[in-house]
Order: sequence, then structure tokens, then C-alpha cells
Amino acid sequence: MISISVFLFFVAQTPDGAALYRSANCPGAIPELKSGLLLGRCYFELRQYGKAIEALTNYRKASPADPEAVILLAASQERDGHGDAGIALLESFLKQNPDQIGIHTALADLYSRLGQGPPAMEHYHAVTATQADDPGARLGLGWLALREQRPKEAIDEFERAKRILPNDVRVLSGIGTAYIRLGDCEKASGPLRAALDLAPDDFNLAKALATCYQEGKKWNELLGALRTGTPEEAADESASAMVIKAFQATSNAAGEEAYCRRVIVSSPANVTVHTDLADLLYASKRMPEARSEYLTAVKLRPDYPRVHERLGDMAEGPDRAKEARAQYEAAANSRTGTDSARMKLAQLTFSEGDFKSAKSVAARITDPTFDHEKKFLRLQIDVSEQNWNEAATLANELLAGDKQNLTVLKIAGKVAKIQDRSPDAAGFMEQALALDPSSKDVRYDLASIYLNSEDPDRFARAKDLLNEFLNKYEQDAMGYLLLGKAYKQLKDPNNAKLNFRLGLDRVKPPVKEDLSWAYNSYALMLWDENDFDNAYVYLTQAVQLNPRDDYSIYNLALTCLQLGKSDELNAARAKLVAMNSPKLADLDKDIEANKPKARKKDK
Amino acid sequence: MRRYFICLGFLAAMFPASAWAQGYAVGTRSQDGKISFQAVEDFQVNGRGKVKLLPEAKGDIDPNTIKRLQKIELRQAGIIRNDGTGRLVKLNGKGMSRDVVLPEDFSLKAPAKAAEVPGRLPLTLVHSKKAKQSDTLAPELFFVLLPGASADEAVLQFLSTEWAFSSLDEQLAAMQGFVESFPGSPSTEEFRNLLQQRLTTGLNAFEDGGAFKDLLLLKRFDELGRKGFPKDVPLKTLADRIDARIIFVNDKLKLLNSLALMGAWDTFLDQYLDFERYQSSFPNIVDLRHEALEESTRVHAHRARAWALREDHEMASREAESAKIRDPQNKEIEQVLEEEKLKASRVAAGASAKARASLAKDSEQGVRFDRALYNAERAIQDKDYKKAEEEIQNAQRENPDAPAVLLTRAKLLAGRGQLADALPLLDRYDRLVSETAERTKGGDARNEILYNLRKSKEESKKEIDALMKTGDYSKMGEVLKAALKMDPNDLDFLFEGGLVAGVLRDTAAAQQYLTKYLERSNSLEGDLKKRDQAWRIRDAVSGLKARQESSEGSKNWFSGRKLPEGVFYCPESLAFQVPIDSVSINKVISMNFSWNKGRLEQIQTSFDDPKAGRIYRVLPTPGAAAAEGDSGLSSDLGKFYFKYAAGPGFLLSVQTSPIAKNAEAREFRARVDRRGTPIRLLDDDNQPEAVLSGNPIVDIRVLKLLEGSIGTTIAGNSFFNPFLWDGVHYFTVDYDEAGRAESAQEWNADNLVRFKWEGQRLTEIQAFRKGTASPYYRRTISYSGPMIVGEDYSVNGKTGKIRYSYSPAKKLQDIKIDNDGKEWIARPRP
Repeated sequence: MISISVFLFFVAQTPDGAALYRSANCPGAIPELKSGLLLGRCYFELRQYGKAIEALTNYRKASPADPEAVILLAASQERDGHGDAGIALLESFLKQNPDQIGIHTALADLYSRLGQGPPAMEHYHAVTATQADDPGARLGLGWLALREQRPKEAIDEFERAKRILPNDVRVLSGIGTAYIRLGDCEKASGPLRAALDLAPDDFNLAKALATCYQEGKKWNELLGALRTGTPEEAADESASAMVIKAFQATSNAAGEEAYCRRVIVSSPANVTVHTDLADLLYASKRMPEARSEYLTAVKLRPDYPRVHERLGDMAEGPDRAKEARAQYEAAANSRTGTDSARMKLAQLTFSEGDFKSAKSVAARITDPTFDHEKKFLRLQIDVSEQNWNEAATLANELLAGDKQNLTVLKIAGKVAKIQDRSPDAAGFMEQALALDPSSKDVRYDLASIYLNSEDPDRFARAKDLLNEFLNKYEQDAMGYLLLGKAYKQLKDPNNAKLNFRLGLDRVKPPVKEDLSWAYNSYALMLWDENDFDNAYVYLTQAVQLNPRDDYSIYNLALTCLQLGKSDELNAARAKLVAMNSPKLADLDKDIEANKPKARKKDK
Repeated sequence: MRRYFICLGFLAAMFPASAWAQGYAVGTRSQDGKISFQAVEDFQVNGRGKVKLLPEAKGDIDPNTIKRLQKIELRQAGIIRNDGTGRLVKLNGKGMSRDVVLPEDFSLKAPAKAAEVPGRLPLTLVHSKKAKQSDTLAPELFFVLLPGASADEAVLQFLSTEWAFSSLDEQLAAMQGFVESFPGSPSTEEFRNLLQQRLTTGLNAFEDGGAFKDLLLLKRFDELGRKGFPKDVPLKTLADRIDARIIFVNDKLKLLNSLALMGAWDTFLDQYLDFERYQSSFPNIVDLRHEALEESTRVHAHRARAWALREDHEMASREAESAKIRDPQNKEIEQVLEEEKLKASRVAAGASAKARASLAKDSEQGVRFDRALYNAERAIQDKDYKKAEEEIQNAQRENPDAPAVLLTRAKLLAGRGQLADALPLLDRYDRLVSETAERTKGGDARNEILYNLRKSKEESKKEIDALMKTGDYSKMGEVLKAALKMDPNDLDFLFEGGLVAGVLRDTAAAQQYLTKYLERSNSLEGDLKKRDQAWRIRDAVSGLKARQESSEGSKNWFSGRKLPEGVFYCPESLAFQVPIDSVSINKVISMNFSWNKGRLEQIQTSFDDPKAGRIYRVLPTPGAAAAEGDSGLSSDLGKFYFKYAAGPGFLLSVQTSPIAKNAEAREFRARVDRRGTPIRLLDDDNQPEAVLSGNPIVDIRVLKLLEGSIGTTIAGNSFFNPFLWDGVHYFTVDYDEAGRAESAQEWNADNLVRFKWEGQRLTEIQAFRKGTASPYYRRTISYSGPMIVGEDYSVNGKTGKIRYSYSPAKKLQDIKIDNDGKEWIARPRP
């Protein structure tokens, strides 16, 4: 019977078709294989079960008694969703060919796969009754035991089959699977590895083995188990994740990148590898490529907060803030969104001045690890909204948890200063300066607080602070100017003038408005020396820098009065009138008195 | 079934029917079918000793027909048996019509139906006429009547008359009945020996590719042996072996079918190996094997592609190689293999290139290295391979890791003719170099080697084919050695190299080549017949035991084999061990033996008068002298010259013309001459060569499997009488497992000689004519302690004897040969 089928096989095939079939090139062989068992096998291998059924049915017309064909046909029907038809076919064949013991095994296998244990067992026993060590029956009994959650018995059966089939993938994978069921990956991995060597493209097997290796952190072995190159693996994101993890554990970024790129070619919808590739590119600062991969990832998986957050971080260009905000919002609004993204969004919206959004987003942050940042953000918002009391409270709370926080110390100093709590402000600033002696802002703010006090000791402290800075760090205009002021407060006009002069010489245009006080102070020192002409020059500049400074306007007016510059005097007076300045009354008195010596007023 | 009774058949010739006259063997069959035999003095039908024989017919029998029938003595009727209906019928031979036995006084008054004639007959068994002891026998219980002086012999002969039985079951039942009826009789012992021989022959036939159905039939006989001779250990052992073989085959068939249905093709092929020798009875399984090879190819090709998908090109090429072994002509697989090998070599080259140290071109080492390689290349061109090897080693000393060394070494191997060995070196080279220019060099060398390899192989194959036709194994051995050096994986070279190595006693090489052949030819291209032959030769070679040679004693002048004391006939050559000085008869004829250093060089016979020639010619040579012998009266009558092989010193040939004094000893040549019958080995002078079981150059057991029996010995007469040389008699000898001569068929004569041994001692010689079971010549040899004391022989009714006389010191003094009334005296060398 088999010889007839072999004969028919030779008749039906062209030599090329058969050769291609033997070379495992079914796609190439199918056009050449007009009919026959091989055609059926090829369609079966390519999972085209309908065509396999057609080919095998045709083949069986000529070779109805070929057991291989009937077994394959039944398997094709099963895979095509018609397991019952497969069973009926085999049962019928067995009735007509009761001496075909192997059909019992095939039938039992099918029953077993369809979850019908009792008839499967019956047919297996029909085989073992005549051939106790029949490898097919023992193998089938093993798998049946596995399906019925009897892994130890399964191992016994597989071991019996192994005596005859020492290198059979089904036997080895059966043993491995049974050990996995027993929770013994150590024992499972040997047979599974051996099975995989026999079926290197069996993705399910590879994944089962890889899972074992992952459990034992055997990363190189894991890399050897997976990376099958199959479309199934490329489409399986959990497998991709295992491989990526193994590459990372072995610090093989190049391999990881190559793997990701290869998987993407095979399975462009694999988000895991797009993301991992993007992360790799991001880490190696290949931003445009990274961004492109991240964008692909979020396109494939729109609700992907981590990547949205990363894209927010990476936003650039003219619409950077807009894009960043959109990405952070997507991340923050995701059901699985993280507080990290929300924090970033809150900070971004705060930086944009959208305090309402900032506060709203910050309110949704529940992760206690963000408490500090959240409080700090609130502090910033309160400062921005000039909620000084709240700001002071938050600053104190933050400093209670972290006394060394420079930023908070600065803010606390600033708030205290605004609240006219100069000692507190000075205290915060001193702490801040101790933390960061090079901080110009802190030093100048602190010096300013001291210089605005009434305490000569503090003037001296300010002088020291400024001298130290100018000597150690930077010789900048503001430092000299403040030092000049300090000397002035300390009644040391020479040093005051010297430092004012040094400071003013270093001022680079455009001169900032907040330097008008320096011009005013220096001008007043010139006034005191009756150098009205030069005083007039500096006061004019002071007024130009800060047209709202009524002190400077007043002093300029007096100087004009002194120099007889009536028009300018009147212009200055008009400004004071417009400003509704309390200095107007003083000026008017001076003009009334027509005293050439106008009273000067320092700021 | 006939073939199972060939051996039994000769019994008929031993005991012709005409010789039996004195009594009968009567076989009866019980109602349960059990057959038994007994001896009776007389047998009567209807109370009479005479009968009429009516040719068996259909229709009606005319009364006149009965009247016309002649009466004959019952004992002249031959075999009479029950026809199954209770009638007695006389059997006339295979395929011949039978005669119905009628009582001598039987008559019909009216025509009667043939089937009813003669009706139920009273049968009488006369146990003793004298004592008037007799029994009646119901005709339904009668089975057979066999006339004969000896009942057991008569039954034994009957048992071999296959056509006399209605079925094998009946025949086996008769055999069983025979054994039980005549326990301990010589015939039963003879039957047992025949049964053992049958079982042995049948089992061997199966092992030699015989049909499985014949083995199953043989099992019936082994069951008979178990029942009939339950305590007989050798029979039981044989029966166990037969049973084991049947179980093996049946189990294997089940297993192979199961493996095929589950698609375990590689396991199928593994499991098939020890079944392959029995495959001829199972064409379906042979077809399955073919399918297994195809599917195994596919499995390995699939695996190769899967490894390629994993970018593991090493594994991919390994699997593609496995697929290619299964399907050597598959172009697609060849392509996959090439691609994967290339990729694997590139990967390997990439890795090794980084690790490899290279010499700076302008360094001293670099200059020395380049020069050495240049010199090596030039030396290869000049065919100065020794120099080339030296230069390569020089280069290797300078830079052991340099791939260029491998390339040059590959070229050297190619130059030396080891073309296929050069290819793995090029593979290694390819795995080391990654630059295009370097790879091109490797590719160029490979192309040239592959071209030369193909060309050289074609030439070698032509030469081997020609030598195979001429049967020149010695020359083939040389050519195949070179061919296998050129390509140790070529299937033809391996197969033929294995066979020839087996013939030429290179056991290790034979096993190696044939094992490799069997591994590599287990493919879609593998020739089943060649594989079968390879299995058998390899098994034969593996089973060969070294000749058991005595460590003491002296060498036999013919075989060169050392024989222990007390052995007088060489088991291999049959030559007499004691050197003879002369053999004479009444001073009329004298044969003088000349020896030199223990070798018989010549025999010169002298005749005193013309009558002597006639006496000489009627020496005990009932079988004709061989064609090579000279039985005419001439000047060189009775002159024999002995030629020995160079080196090992065994006898090569005997001739009747003198050998030139200065002629050099010839090398033994293994050249089979298949033109004549029997086949023989010829020396360089085209003289037949003596070749014995212990021949150190040729293994005749292996050669027998290839060419047929070819063991050849030479004697001075037809019966291995060591003293009387009447001509040069050649024999084709078959040996037993122990390497002792079992039988010798004389060339050009109807004379088959059989030998019996006890240990290494010859005890009996029998000579047979073709188709006869009884010897026409028989000689028994007697020993006393370590001495041979006498030999007695009979030939065609005449008897003769040989007597050995010893001195008081037990030294052989003379030998008297009493032949046909004439006494010859042989004297050993002093």
C-alpha cells in the first residue's frame, strides 16, 4: 500500500518540485507540485489548511489506503477547525484497516488535542497492548498526561519514548514542559534546549525556554534561546521585552539595537522594539532618530504615557513649549499616566504663567515621592502670585524637611525681604550663601538687605561680603556699586566714590533700570562736593533709567534749581506732579524759599 | 519448501528402493493426527502379501480392467500410503499419477464407481511370522507402508520425499513421529544432524539476504527440533537464534512503521541500519526508507534554513551538510550549503581578523615570512614537495597564525594529490581572511583544486573499473589507496577501497572505508545492492579472527603455518607435515623428494622399466587427474617443481616443468581469473596460485563473498594421499570457521572431497561423485598419542591402508602404503 503511494508520488511530481520540497522550500515547490502527498504536506506546513485538505483529498482518491495521507488529512481538518471531521475520518479508516496500529496513535493524539482524554487513552492502550514500547503511543500518553495535569506521569511516558527517540523534539520538549509544570526550570532547560536545537524556529519552544532562563537570570542563554528570527517572535512583544532585558543585562547595546532594527523590519507594529530602539538612540544622543522612533511608538500606541513624557522632554523648535505641553498632557491624562509626567506638565504650565493649570495638574499628583517638588511648585506659584504668607509658610515647610535647599532658601529670603522681615531674610540669605558662596545673586541680595538696614555692623558685613566676592569671584559693576554704597553708609566717602566710579565704569549698555539708585547715590556725593554739573549728569541718567523714581527726579530738580535750569526744573516738577509724588511739596517749598541750596534727598 | 529438503534428499540416493526387501516400516496416524512408525516383518492386505495396482481414475471401473491387472509382491510396490479416504495408494513419484492398491483376489462383478474401489480393506501387521504374532489395522489409521530392511532408514528416506506428503504439517508430523518412534537409532541421529544442518543453512541463508517467509518456514523445523530433541543444546541454541531473528524482524517492522507514521524519520533511518540486511523481503519498508531519506533531507534542510534565520550560519551549514548527505544531487540544498558556509566563514573571518597578529611587511620577520612562502610556492610548482614543506614550516615559525600558510599548505596537498584534503584547509583559510583580495586567492585555489579533483577522480574511476574487470585486486589496492588519498569521501572509492582492503587483509582500512561508505551512502543516491554488499563485507571483516597458530611446532612446507606436534596434515593445505625423502615400490618406481631449507623443491620419479609407467598411471586416482596433471608417458613423467611466494614463503604453485635456477621468487598476486571454471587466482606467469585460508595477503573468506569460492590447494592425487604423486591436482577449497579445510572440489574432475577433523587433526577423508551422498572413497586416519599410526581407505569397493612405523625412540621410520595390492614404501627425511 505504501509502495503504491510512493509510486504515485513519483509519477505525480516533477523532479524539480520534489527537489524543492526536499530542500524545505515549500513556497518554491508548490507551483511545481501538481498534486500528491507532498503538495498536501507543503500546504500544511504553510498553514494553508484548506488547500492541504483539498490536495490530500485528491491524493487519497488514488491512494485511499495510505495511512500517512489520512493522518495528515485529519490533522489538516483539525487545524482548519474541524477536529470532529478528522476524528470521523480516522475512525472510518481504522475500521477499514484494523491492522494499521499507527492509526490508533494518530486518532488518540487527535482526541487528546481535542481534550477528549478517555477515548484517547483507549486508543493509546490499543497500541501499547501489542507494542508496549511503541514510541508514538508513549509520546502521546506523555502529552495526554501533561494536558491532564499529571506532569510526573508525563515525564515517565516521555522517558520511555526517549529510549527509542532520543533526539525527538516532541519528546524533549515534552519532558521540558513537564518540568516547567513542576516548577523546575533547572531541569526543564536541558531538554528544552536540546529540543530547540532540533527545531530552531519553534518560537513557542524558544519562548518557554527563554522564560526559564529569565527566571534564572541566565541572560546569554536567553539570548541563545530567543532571537529565532521568526515572524511569530517579531510579533510577540513579551518575547521582544525578554530579549531586550537580556541585552541590557549583558550591556550589549549594539546587539540590542541590531535586534530591534531586525524585528522592526519583520514586524513594524512591534511597539516594544520601537520604544527600546528609541530609548537606545536617546541614550546615545541620536535625538532625531530617537524622536522618530518615539513618535512611531505613540502612533502605534496612542496611550503611551512614558513615551509621551519622553517626547515632551525632547520637544524643541519654535513650538517647543506647545509640543511639550501637548505630550505632557497626553502622558498626564493617560489612565496609566505617571505623576512624573504630571509634575513636568505642572512645571511647564507654571513656567508659561498658567498658574491655574499648574495648580490643577499638581493637585492630581498623588505619588508621595513628588511631595517635595509639588510643594516647591506651589511655593513658586505663591511667590508668583505674591501670596507671601502662603509662600513663607511653604518655604518654611520645605526648609524644615531640607535645610540645605538653596533655591528655597533664596525664595524664603526674598519672601522675608518682601515682608520686611529683614533679619529673617538675612538669615535665609546667609544660609544660602554658605551653601553657595559663589552665588552672586544671594550675595548681592544679602548685601542689599544689610545696606538697607540701620545697623552699622551690617554695613560692615555687607562691605566684607562684597569685598570677598570682588576679590574671589568676579569684578562686576554691581559688586563695586554696592561696595560703594556700603562705604558710603560707613561714612568712607573716598572708598565710596572710588567703588562707585569702578562700578559705573564697568556698567555696560544697555544699563538696567535697577541701577538708577547707583547713579543717584553717586550724584548726591558729587552734590555734597558742590560738583552740581556732574551731579546733574548722573541724576539725569538716573531719571532716564528709572523715570518713576521720584527721589531722583526731585534731586534732579534741586540740581537744576541750583544750576538755574528753569525749564528742566519745571519739567521735573511736572513729572512729580504727574506722579503725585509726596516730593512735590518739598520741591515747591524749596522753590518758594528760593534758596539756592536745595535740600538733597537720597534714596 | 523444496530447498529445505535438499540435504535430506540425498538419503534417497543412499538407500535405493531395490535394496530393501526384508521388512516394512508402517506408519499409523491416530485420530488426533499424531503419526507413529513401527517395524513389522510383513504386511498383508486382505490377508495376502500380493496386491494389484489400479491406476487412479475417475468415473466407473470396469470389472475387466480389474481382471487384467497383474499381481505383484507388496514389498515391490514402493511407497504405499493412505489417500485420505482410507484407501491405499501407491505413489509413483512427484507429479505422477497414483495407483490404487487392491487385494490380489479383488474382483468386480459389475462396474463400480472408482472412488468406491476397492472399499474398506482389512490390513494385517505381521510382527513375527515365526511366532505368528500379528495385529489388524483399521485402514482409517493406516498412514504409510515403506518396505525396507531397516525401518528407521526407510522412514528417514521417506521423510525427505516431500511430494509424498499432503502438506508440510503432515510431513512435520511424520518427522515428529519418526523421532519418537526410533529414539536413539542411528537414523534418528542422522535426522538430527540433517535438521541441525538445515537450521544452520536456513538461518545463514536468511542472514545472507534470504526471504523472511523462508525463515518463518524454518521456524516450523526449529519447533520440530525442540519437540523431538528437547535436551539437545546445539539444536536449542539454533532454534533460539531463529526465534530471536524472527522476533527482531517482526518488532523492527512494527517499530519502523510506527516511526514512519509519526514522522520520526531520522530515528527511522537509525533503526533501519541493522534491519537493512533483511530488507529484500519487505519492499514496502524499502519504500518507506526511501521516503525517510527524503523527509530526513527535508528536516535537515528546514533546520538549516531555521538556523540561517537565527543568523547562526555555522549551525545552518552543518544542517545543510546533513541534508546534502541525504540528497547529494539536490541543487537547492547545495546552494544553501554554499551560502551558509560562505556566511559562516565571513563571520568567523571577521572575528578572527581582529584577534590575529600580522607582521609588518618591512620587518625582518615579515620579509622572512614572505620569502619562505614564495619559496614554498615555487617548490610546489617544481614538484619539490619536501622543500615546499620545509619552507611552509619556516613561514609558520615566523607567523604561526598567518592564513597564507594555510593557503600554501592547501596548494602543497593538492600538488601531492591529496586534493580533497586540501579543501578543509581552504575552508579554514576562508574563515580567517576577510579582505576581498585574500578571499579571492582562496577562491582561485579552490576552483583549481575542485577542477583537478573532478578530473583526477574521473581518471581514477576509469582505471579502477578496468582493474575490477580484470580482477586484479593487488593493483586495485594500490590505485584505490591513491584515489582515497585524493578524495577520502568519494563513495565509489570508499566502497571499492573497502572491498579491496578486505580482500587484501587490511582489516582496519576495510572497516574504516566501509563504515564511512555506509554512513555517507545512506542517501537517496545510495545503491542498495552496494550497501548490502558493504554490510556483508564489513561484517565478514569484523568477524574475522586471527588464525590460531601454534606457538610451538614446525612450519608446514606448503602453508607456512606452524603446526603443533601430533598434527600430520596441515588443516589449510592438507599437505603432510613430515618431510618425505622418497617413495618407492619394489625398486621399480622411485619418487625422490628434494628439500631446501624446509621447502619441498621438487619430486623426481624414476622408472626402472616400461611396466613401471603403467603401474604409475594406475595409482589410486579413480578421479581423473587434473588437466594440469600429466598422465602420459614422457620424459618428464613424475617430475614436479614447487614454486614459493617471495617473503612469506608459502607454496605458490606446482608445475611439471623445471623452474629456472636463478628465477626470483614471485610476489603473491591477487588477480582473479574469472574466465574459466572454477575461478582462480593467477600469478604473473598466469599460473594458478595456491591460496589457503591463512594466506597472509588475501582473505579468501572476503573474496568468496565477492567472487565465489576461490581457496585453492594443490595435491599429488585426488585424495590427498601425501605420498603418491601422479600429477598436479588443483582443488577449490572451502574452509570452516576454524580455518580448516571442509571440502575440496577438484578442478576438471567429478571429485568432491570432504574432511573431518578433531581439533587440528584430520580424521577422515571422503570423496563424492556429483549428486551422490555416499562417498566412493573413504579414508580414516588413526592416531595414538602424538603419533599417526595408520590410515585405512576404501575406494569403489577396493581397500587399502597406510601404516606408520616408528623407532623405539618414537621417530617415524617408514610408511607402508598398501595400494591396490601393491606396497609402496615411503621414507621420511632422516
